[in-house]
Amino acid sequence: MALKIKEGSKIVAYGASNESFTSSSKLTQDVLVHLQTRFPNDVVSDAPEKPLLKQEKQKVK
Amino acid sequence: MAISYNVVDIRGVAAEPIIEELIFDNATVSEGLVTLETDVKAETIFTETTAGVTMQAYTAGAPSSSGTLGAFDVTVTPTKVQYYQEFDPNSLRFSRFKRDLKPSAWNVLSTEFERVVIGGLYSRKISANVESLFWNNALAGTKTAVAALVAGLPQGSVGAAEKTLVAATTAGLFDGIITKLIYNNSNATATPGLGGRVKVAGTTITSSNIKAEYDKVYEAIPAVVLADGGEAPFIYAPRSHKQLINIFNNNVANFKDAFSVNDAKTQYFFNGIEIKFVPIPENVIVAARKSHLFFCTDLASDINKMEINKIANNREDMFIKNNMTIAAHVGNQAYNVLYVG
Repeated sequence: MALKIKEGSKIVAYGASNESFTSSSKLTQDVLVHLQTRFPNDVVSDAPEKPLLKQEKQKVK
Repeated sequence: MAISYNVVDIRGVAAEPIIEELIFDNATVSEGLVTLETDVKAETIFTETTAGVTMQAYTAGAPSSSGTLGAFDVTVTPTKVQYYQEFDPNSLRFSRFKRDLKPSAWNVLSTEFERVVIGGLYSRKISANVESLFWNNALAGTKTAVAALVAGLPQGSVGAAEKTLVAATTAGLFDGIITKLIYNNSNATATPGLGGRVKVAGTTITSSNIKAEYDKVYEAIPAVVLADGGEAPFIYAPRSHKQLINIFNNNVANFKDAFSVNDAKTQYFFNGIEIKFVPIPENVIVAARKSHLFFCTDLASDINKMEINKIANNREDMFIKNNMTIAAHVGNQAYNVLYVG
């Protein structure tokens, strides 16, 4: 499962004197996997969200 | 370029102290926290030796040779760098600094300005910048090379955290100590590759988990480094850890002898190893003997040497210039611990 940094997130992993990471940072997946361990809310799966099934839509209603 | 200075036309008295920006002193050099190797002009050779011995059964005849004797050379050439800034001293004419401008329109530079801003703050800022980059800097090529390594858990693989750290390091003119610990060519074949550091996988350090994370570093230090009679290693930690340690010690529930601090709160120890607070990234710790970490330069005092002069004889604007050479080098790699969160 590929990961990405959430739009609008800014990850400061090593302090202000180092570069922060955003959704436009070009990072390898192993780096993103590591960042997810420290910033689980800012690193998410880049799989497109599945459309809701008909039954689920009805539940939502 | 004019000096960026919002002046008040001085009529009365100016308070004597000039409020300067706060900056850290370069303790790495001034207190010798690493080995300062001077007179390193270019292609200076650092040699490392190894030996292996094997006891074997006595024979009266021809014995067979066993064991190893090895050595390799590493060539270090410091990078020549420069700080250079131009300014127009004319704006001083309207400021507090005019008080010590000598009579005559030809005299344009205030000795107070020279002392406080150029010789004081500006040169100290260069010194602090040099110290920061010595620890925390990476060539663009090194960043690319480390990004191409495959991360793994074993000691012989780059850690995912180490890759992340190099990715977060701002590209500069030379590789700093932390980058050199992760990637260098200081090996027998002079081939660039993964550093021989003892790798410790870390996490985000807080005042709550700081002892547990320092335990990981302490445990990873090769026992021979801590042997009695040898040179004592240092733990090099980010400056913020001083606060985290004090907060940890202030918690009555915590074991106080792990982090011992002298009464003046000027010396910090972990299990008897002195902690030196240096400008390394957050969530990074190094444990090493200072004789394994080298600050290579031509002349140490170059860091503080400033040249100030008119840009040209027919001009009134001026320049400040600082030239120096710098390289970071790591020796005895297998005995140095690098913790990265």
